[in-house]
Amino acid sequence: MSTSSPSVGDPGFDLEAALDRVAHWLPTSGPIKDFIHHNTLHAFQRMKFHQAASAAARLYGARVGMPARFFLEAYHAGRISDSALERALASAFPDEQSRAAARTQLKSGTLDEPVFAGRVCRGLRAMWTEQLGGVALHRRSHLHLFRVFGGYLDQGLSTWRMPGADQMGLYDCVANLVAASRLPLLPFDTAGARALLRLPAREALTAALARSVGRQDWYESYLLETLLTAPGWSGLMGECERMPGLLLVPRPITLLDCAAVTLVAELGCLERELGLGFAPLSASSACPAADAAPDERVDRTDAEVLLSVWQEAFEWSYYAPLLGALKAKSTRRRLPPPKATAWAVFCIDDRACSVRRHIEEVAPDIATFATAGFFGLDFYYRGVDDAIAGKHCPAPMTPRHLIVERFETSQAIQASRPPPWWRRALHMEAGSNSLLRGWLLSYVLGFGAALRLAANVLRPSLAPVAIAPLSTVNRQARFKLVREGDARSPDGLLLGYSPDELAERIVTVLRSMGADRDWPELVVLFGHGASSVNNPYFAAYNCGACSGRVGAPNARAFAKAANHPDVRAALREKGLPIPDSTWFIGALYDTTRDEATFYDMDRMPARFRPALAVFQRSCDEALARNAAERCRRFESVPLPVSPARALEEVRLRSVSLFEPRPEYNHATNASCVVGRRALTAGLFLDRRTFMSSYEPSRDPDGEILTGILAAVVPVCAGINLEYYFSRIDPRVYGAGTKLPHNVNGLLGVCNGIEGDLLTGLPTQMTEIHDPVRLIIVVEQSPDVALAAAKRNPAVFEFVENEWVRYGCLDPTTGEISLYDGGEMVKVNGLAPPAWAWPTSLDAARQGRANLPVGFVGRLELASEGASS
Amino acid sequence: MIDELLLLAIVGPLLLALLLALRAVTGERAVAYVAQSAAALSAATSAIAVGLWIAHSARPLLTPPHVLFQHQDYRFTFQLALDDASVVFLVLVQFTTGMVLRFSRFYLHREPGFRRFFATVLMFQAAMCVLTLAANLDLMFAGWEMVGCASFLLIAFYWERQSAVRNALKTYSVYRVADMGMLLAACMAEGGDHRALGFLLLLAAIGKSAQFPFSFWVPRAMEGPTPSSALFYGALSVHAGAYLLLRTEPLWGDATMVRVFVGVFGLLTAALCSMFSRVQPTIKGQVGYASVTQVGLIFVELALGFRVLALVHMVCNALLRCYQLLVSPSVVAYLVRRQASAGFAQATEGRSGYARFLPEKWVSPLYVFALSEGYLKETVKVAIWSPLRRVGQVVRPWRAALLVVGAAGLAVAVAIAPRTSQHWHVALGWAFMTQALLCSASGLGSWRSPLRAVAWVSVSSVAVAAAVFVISPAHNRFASIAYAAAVAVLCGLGLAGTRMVVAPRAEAARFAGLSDKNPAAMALALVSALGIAGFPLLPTFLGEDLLLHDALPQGAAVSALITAVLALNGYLAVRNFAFAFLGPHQSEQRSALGGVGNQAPLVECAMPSRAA
Repeated sequence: MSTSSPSVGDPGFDLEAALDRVAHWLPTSGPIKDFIHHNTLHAFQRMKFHQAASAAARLYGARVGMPARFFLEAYHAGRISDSALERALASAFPDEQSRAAARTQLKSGTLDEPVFAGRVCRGLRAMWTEQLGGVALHRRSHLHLFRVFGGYLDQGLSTWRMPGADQMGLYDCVANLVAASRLPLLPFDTAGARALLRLPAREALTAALARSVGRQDWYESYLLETLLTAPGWSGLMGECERMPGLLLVPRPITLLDCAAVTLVAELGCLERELGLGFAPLSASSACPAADAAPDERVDRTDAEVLLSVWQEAFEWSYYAPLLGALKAKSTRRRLPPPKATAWAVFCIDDRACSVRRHIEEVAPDIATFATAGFFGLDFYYRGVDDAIAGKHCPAPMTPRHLIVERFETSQAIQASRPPPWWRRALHMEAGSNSLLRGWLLSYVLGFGAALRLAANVLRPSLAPVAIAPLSTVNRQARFKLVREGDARSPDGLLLGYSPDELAERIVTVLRSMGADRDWPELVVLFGHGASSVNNPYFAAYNCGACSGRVGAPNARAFAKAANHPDVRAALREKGLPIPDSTWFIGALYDTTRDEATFYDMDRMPARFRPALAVFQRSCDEALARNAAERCRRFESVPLPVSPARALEEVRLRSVSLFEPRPEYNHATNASCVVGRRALTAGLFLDRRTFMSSYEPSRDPDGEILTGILAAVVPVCAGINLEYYFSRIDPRVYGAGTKLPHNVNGLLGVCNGIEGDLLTGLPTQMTEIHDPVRLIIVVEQSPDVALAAAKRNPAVFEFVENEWVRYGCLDPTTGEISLYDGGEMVKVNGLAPPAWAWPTSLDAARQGRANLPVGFVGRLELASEGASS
Repeated sequence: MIDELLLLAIVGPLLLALLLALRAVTGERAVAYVAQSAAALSAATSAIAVGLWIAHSARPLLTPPHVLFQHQDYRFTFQLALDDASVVFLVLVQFTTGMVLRFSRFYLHREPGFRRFFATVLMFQAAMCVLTLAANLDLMFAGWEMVGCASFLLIAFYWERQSAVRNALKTYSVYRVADMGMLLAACMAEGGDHRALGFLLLLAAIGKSAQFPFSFWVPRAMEGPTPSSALFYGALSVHAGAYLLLRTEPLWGDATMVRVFVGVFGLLTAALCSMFSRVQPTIKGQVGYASVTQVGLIFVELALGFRVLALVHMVCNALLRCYQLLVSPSVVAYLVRRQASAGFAQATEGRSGYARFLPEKWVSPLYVFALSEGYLKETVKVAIWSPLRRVGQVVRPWRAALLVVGAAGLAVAVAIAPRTSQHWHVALGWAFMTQALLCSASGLGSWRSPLRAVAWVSVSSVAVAAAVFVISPAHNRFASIAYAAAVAVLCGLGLAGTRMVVAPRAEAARFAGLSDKNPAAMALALVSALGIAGFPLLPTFLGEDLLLHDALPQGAAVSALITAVLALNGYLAVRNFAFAFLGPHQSEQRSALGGVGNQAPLVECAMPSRAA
C-alpha cells in the first residue's frame, strides 16, 4: 500500500472529472414543481436489472426488492401461481437438485432478508469517523448546512434572501457572508474553516480533501460518500447544474460549490469538537484502497438470487394471463368495426385505459385512440399563469418552439388578476408572518381562517381554496400557434410553428395511430392533468409525456392546427387530406375529477354543434362510470357505488384539504400495449396498461414503431420504475409517508425543518402498487419489433438489460414472443382468460384488489359462448 | 349541572383515549368513530355548559370544589372556573381539536400509527380542557403536564426517525424547564410572594410558549403529521403559556417588575422571531416562528394590561396559524402560480420589511444572525446542559462512592433522626440533595448502558425523597415515604422493562430502536418514564406536589433545588426511554446505516467503538 503524502492543489487530481463521475451516482430529481418520473436507478441502467438492484443496494444501503414475506403472502393468496414459480425457478436453477432446494427454501419462508449497509457506513468516511473516536460528522454538519443550502437556493418561500445569492455561486456566497459578518455562521466560524473560505472554491475543496483524506486516490470515493450523506440536496444541485432552466429563480449553482461548502463545514465541525489536532484519513494504514464507482460485477448472495426468483414469479403471474388474453383476443374472428361518428384521442396513460373502455361501452360509435400525450407537438409553453415557460414534451426531447398564451378580452384579464391582498395574506403570503402587519392581520384573519377551515373540513368545496382547479383555468386565454415569419424569443426559440411544420407533426401522429382514413365528424383530443389541493406532488399527477405538466395546451394546439386552413392545405400536399366535414377539438381530461373541459368551442362552425352535444353526453356518462371504477381502489369509499355518487366522491377528493390521496395516479401501472384498439377493446385490463395506438399493417419496416417506442418507453418505463423502487424501499428510494412533509424552498419536501430533501414518491402514492416491471407488447412480427427496438439505443437499453419486458404479438399468426437474451422467443402454453363480465361496472364491483385480466362487454360474452 | 357537564367534557375523551391506548378498539373505522364521538361529546357538553353559564349570568363562576386528596394541610382540589377568558379559550380548544380530528380522520387514513395518533390527541384534548378550566394551579399543572407528554408523543410520532425523536426530546427538555416554574408556583400559590410567584409563572410561560430564549423548539417540533403540528404548535399548546399568564394575572399583576419582564421577554421574542421567520426556507418553520412572534406580542399586550386584546389576539393567531399549517403542503402550487402574476423579479429578490432600511454593512451580520436563529439553541445548550454534563463527567468515576455514602447517610439519618436538632436535618437534607443532583448529572452521560441510566435516575429520585424525609418534621414524613415507594415501583417497572430487551452490562447505541424486540417491555418502560416525569394519572404526580409542599417551609433554595432535580429526572427518564426504545428498528438498522439517506442516515455509522 502506497502512502503518498498529501499536497495541496496537486495538479494530478482532476477535480471536475471526478465530480462528474460522482454526480452520476446521485439521485436526479429536479425541483418538485416539475416532478418528472424517471428511473430511480438511472445511473445503473447499463447493468442488468437484478444486478443493478443489488449493486445499488450496496451503494445506497437500500433493499434489493420486496421482502420475502410479501411474496410468500402473495403466493398463499394465489397471486403467485405455481406455474409462474416453476418457470422462474427453472430459468434461475437449471439443475433439478438445486431447484428443489430453492423451492423448499422459498416456500418455507426462512429466507433471510438481504440487508446491506450503504457505502456511507462502511466506506472511507465511516473509517475516518471511527478513527476520530466516533464523531457524528454528518449529523452535526447537516444541522447547519441544510439551512444554508435552503437559504441560498430558496425559490420564493423566505422573504429575506441570502445576500448575494442572485449574483454568486453557493460557495462564494457563504464565503462572503462569513467574511462580511462578525457574527459566526456556524460551523464556518473556526479558524481553519475561515482560512479555507478565503481560497476560491476549487482550491478550498482540494485543500479540504487534503486535510481530511490526504490521499489523492481516495478523494473521489470520499467525495461520493460525502455527497451521498445528503443525497437530496446534492442530487438537486447536480441536476440544477446540468439544467439551470429548472430553477424559477436563477442560482449559479454547481456541485463543486456544494462539495466545497460541505467539506469545509465538516472540517469546521471537527475543529470545534476535536481542535486542530485530528489526523487525516490517510494516517491510518488499515484502510484498503477504495474505488469510487460501485462494482458492476456484484456478487449476489443466495438470498438475493432467491428474492429475484420470487420477483420473476410474481411478474409472470401477471404477465401470463395478460399475454393469454391478448393472444385469445387476436385470434378471435373480427367484425369490421362500424363507421365511427367521432374519435376520441387520449394519452397513452394507464388512467386513460378505463376511460376509453367506458366511452366505447357507452357509445359504440365512438372510436378511441391513444398517443403520447404531447400529441407530437414539442414546445415550450408559457401560460398566462406561468412565471416561465415549461417544457410540454417528453423529458429527453429539447423543443425549438415557444407558445405564449395571452388574454384577448379585458374580461379575461380581469379574471386573471391576483386575488385581493387579504385572501393572499390568509393563505400563505408572508405579510401575515411579519411583525406588525402580522399583528394587524391576525386580528382580521383569524376568524376568516376558522371559517375557511370549518367549511373545507365539513363540506369540502372549491370556494375556500385559493388554487383554482385545472378546469377553470384559462379557457379564455388564447395563443398564437402559427407563426408569421421567423420571429424568435430572446432565448432563440421560434414563436410558434409554420403550417408546414405543423402538418408534418400531424401526419406523423395520425399515421402512427393508424387514424388517417374513414374520417368521422369530430376528432376530440384529450390532454390530461390532475387538479388536487394541498399536494406538493401535484406535478407527478400530470402528464408524463408533457414533462409533468398539463397536456391541455398540446391537445388544444393540435386541434387548432388540424383545423387551420393553411395546415390542412399542407396536409393535403403530404397526402393526408382531411375532409371539411371533420372538425378537431382540443379538450382536457382531469384525471382526478373525471371531468372533461372542451376548448375553443366558440370557434367551431355551427354545423358540428349537434355532434359535439351528443359526444359530450356520452363522455359525461362514461366519465361517471369511470369514477365508479376508480372508486373501488379508495378504501374510504364504501362499495358498491353508483356512477353518480362516485363522481361526487372523486370531485370531493380533488378539493379536500385533508385528502392525501386525491387519486391513485399510476399506482396500478404494469404493462403497455402498442397496437390496434381491436387487440385490447373488450378486455378488462384494470387500469394497469399504458396503450398506444399503432397500425402494424402500414408499418412493414417498423419505422413508425421506432418513433412510438422512442416516446413511449422512456415515459412509461420511467413511471413504472420510479413506482417500483419507491415501493420496494420507501425509505431510501421513496419519500416515506407524506403526512409530516414540510415544503422546503419550493424545491422539494423534507421531514421537519432539519431534514434532507426527499426524492422519489411518498407511500401514499405507491402503497397499492404491485411492484412488477413493465411489460411492453407491440403488435408486430418478431423481426420487425426487434429491429424497431434496436434502432434506438436509449430504448434498447431498457429492453436489453431487462428494465422492461419487451414482447410482440404477431398480427398474422397471433403468436406471442418475448425478448430474451438477444432474440424474440416464442411463448407457449398461454391460456385465454378465465374471467368475463357483462360490463366494466360489473367487473369493478369485485372488491378492491387487482383483478385478473378478463373479457368485458356483451359482444365479448357472446363470442365467448360461440367459441367455447 | 355545569359542574357535571364540564367533568364529562374532560373525563370523556380521557377515558376513550385510555380505551384506545389499551387497544380495546381496533380497526381504522372504529378508532375514528370512537375518537370523533369522544371529541363531539366533549365539545357538546362544553357547549351546553357554556350556554348554561351564559344563561345563568355570565359572571365568573367557580364550580363546587371536590377534594380529591387530602393529607394534613395539603389538599388537591378539583375545581373549575368559568370566566370570560376560560370560556373563550375552551371554545377555541374544542373548535380546533374537533376540526383537526375530523381532518386527521381522512389525512391519516392507512397510517400505521392511526390509533396511537387519536389516543394522543384525545388525551391532549382532555388535558387542554383541564388546563383551560382549572381553578387552581395544582389542577392546571395536571393539564399542563399532560399537554407536555402529548407533545412529546406526537413529535416523536414517527419514532423510527432519529431526528423526530431527537427534536421531541429537545422540546420536552424545554417543557421541563417550564414545568419547574409551574410546579414551584403551584406549591407556592397560597400566600406566596407575588413577585416570586410572578417570575415562576413567567418561567413556565416562556418555556411553554417558546419565548426568548427558548424559541428554537417550535419550528423543530414540526416532525409529526401535519395536523398535529397545526393543532399543537400552530394553535393550542404554543398559546398555553400566554394563557397561563392571562389566567394568573391577578396573582402577579401588582408586581411591576414582573410586568416589565413579561413585556421585555415578549418584545424581545417578537423582534427576534419575526426576523428568524423571514429567512426560514421551509414553510412550517416560517409559520412556526411567525406564530411565536405573535405570541410575543400577546405577552406585551398582557404586560400592558390589555387583557381582552390579548385574548382576542390569542384566538385569532391560533386559528390563523392552525389553518396556515394545515394548508402548508399547497404552498408550492400556490406560490409558483402567484409569483407569475405579481411581477416575478421584484417579488423574489431583495430584502423585505425592516431589512430594507438597514445600512449595507449590517445586512450580512443580521442575515447570519437570523439564519442561525440567534444562536438560541446553542446558548441554551451551553448554559444548561454543558455544566451538568461536565459535573456528570467529574462524578462518574466516583459513582460507587456516591452510592455507598448515600446509603450510609440514609442509615445514619434514620438512626439518629429522633435525637438530633433541626440544623442537622437540614444539613443532611442538603447532602442528599447534592447526591441526587450528582446522580442525575452522572445519569445524563451514562446513556450508553440503558440499564445503568435507568438506575441512576432511580437512585436520584430516591435521594430526593430521602432529602425531604430528613428535613421535614418527624410527624410529617408521609410525603417522602409515599413518593419513595411510588418511585421505587415505577423505577422497578422501568428496570424490568429495560432488562427485558437489554442484557445487564450491555451497551446500546443512542436510539437503539429496541421497541420491536418486545412491545410489552416498551409499554412498561414508557409507563415508568411517564411516572418519573410526574404524569398526572400516576401517583408520582401527587407525590411531587406533596414533596414540595413539605419542603417549602424549609426555604426557597431547597425547594428550587428539589424542583430542578425532579424536572431533570423526569427529562432523563423520558430520554432513557427514547434512547433505548425509539429509533429505527433493529431489523432496519443495518440497512439504514447511512442509506441514500432520504431519511438521512438513521444511525450515525461509526458507533463509538468503546468495548462493552
